[in-house]
Amino acid sequence: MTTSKGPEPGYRLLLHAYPRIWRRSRGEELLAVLLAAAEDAGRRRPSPADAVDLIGHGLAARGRALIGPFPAVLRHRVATLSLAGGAAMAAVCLACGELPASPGLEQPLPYASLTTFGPFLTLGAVLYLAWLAVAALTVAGTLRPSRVSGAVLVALGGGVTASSLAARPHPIAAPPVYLPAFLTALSLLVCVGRVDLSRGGRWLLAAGSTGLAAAFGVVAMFRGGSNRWDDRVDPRLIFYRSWQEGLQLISQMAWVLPLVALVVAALVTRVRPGWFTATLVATSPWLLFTLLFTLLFIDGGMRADGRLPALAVAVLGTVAALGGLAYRAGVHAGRRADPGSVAHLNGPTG
Amino acid sequence: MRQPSFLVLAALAGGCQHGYGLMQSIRAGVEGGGGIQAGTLYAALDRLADEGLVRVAGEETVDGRPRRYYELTDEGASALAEETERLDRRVRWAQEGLAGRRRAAGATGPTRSTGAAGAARSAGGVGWGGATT
Repeated sequence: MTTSKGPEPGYRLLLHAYPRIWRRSRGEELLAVLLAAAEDAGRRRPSPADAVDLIGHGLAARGRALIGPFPAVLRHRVATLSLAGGAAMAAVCLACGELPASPGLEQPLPYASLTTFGPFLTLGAVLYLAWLAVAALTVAGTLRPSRVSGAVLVALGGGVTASSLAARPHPIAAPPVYLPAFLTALSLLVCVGRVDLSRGGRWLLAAGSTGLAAAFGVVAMFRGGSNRWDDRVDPRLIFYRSWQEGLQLISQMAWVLPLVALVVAALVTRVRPGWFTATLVATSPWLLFTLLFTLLFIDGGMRADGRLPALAVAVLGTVAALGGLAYRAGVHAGRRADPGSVAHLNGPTG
Repeated sequence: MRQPSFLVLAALAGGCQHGYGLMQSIRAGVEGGGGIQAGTLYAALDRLADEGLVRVAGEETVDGRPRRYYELTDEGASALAEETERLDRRVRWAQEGLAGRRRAAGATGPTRSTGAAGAARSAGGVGWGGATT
């Protein structure tokens, strides 16, 4: 690297740690700063400190590039919407599935003889209570959810999902697999940004999660009361303990909720750009949930475990399609809301 | 708020600057602190621009290379004021603790002091929870 050309070749080599798109827009600017600093210090080659600094931040920039072009404001909205949706789901699961059956009523077979988890029916209560605690403390303004609290929810969700998978086919005190898996997907989205703690953000969080929980609760009771199960069975538990019923309920709701949310977001985004993209990303797990149900029960209610490879391909394809759509929408929204935040996607300037 | 973010916001408080100007301002402002590396500076600028706390104020070409000027946004000025107030509270808390320690040492010799934690309890405490920009 020590040549008659000075430190420039060495710095250019180190700048390759950054993603190509970053180098195209900012590389020459950063190089000029590095060369000016080297000239002032009388250096003819990059210092070890420079090398460590550029490689470290370059690799971090590559990591950020994986997240996509979403400006911070969009990521914060996704986190807020995901926390509201997850809290609503946790509230419904706790109320419908984790509390003991009403006096005089039984649990649906074959779950009547299950072991319990403390005062609750399954290990899932830990996960639901954690979600509700994070949401309640956020609305109260006590907690500022960060990637740390999001990571705790991801770890808890992953742990409960693994426990549920390990429990099959023997019944133990574990919730249906798809519920902790769904909440884990939502908690990953909570991690992508900071939950909005402004007055409007907290209002959205409280009203959104309460409304969602109420809608789920009403439909769960309705479905539980009109099912084919024995009248002696607690209707709340049909939703939770009969995984087909619960999956069907969520998948039916999941068609409607994102559509309503997207229509509202499409109107709001004309005034406050970015809400449509944020809603699209935050509701994608709900749409995937519907797809999962459709593929699993495509034979009229029969489970289709043999279709899992096709199911995996379909889910991954949907994720990729939604991701691509959200990426393009994110770039568009970013250009409208905050042109500077996506300037690095506009190609070289100056 | 991370230290590089705070330093960049503080350096921009006096007016818009380009990248190398920022490095020099920070080196001059942080006496004995060693300044900030160029990679760290641009990571902080990316982060702050993403949060809407700084923006590009202008651009020119010098010796064939682009030079961008950065400035604080109103949100950036608010965030800097908030962080400065938070740091000021912590400095006062530490100073009260040190003053209590000196008083205790002067009055009774080498006795156990309540230190900064005791001073914080008597003053109502200082909370955690800064932003992570």
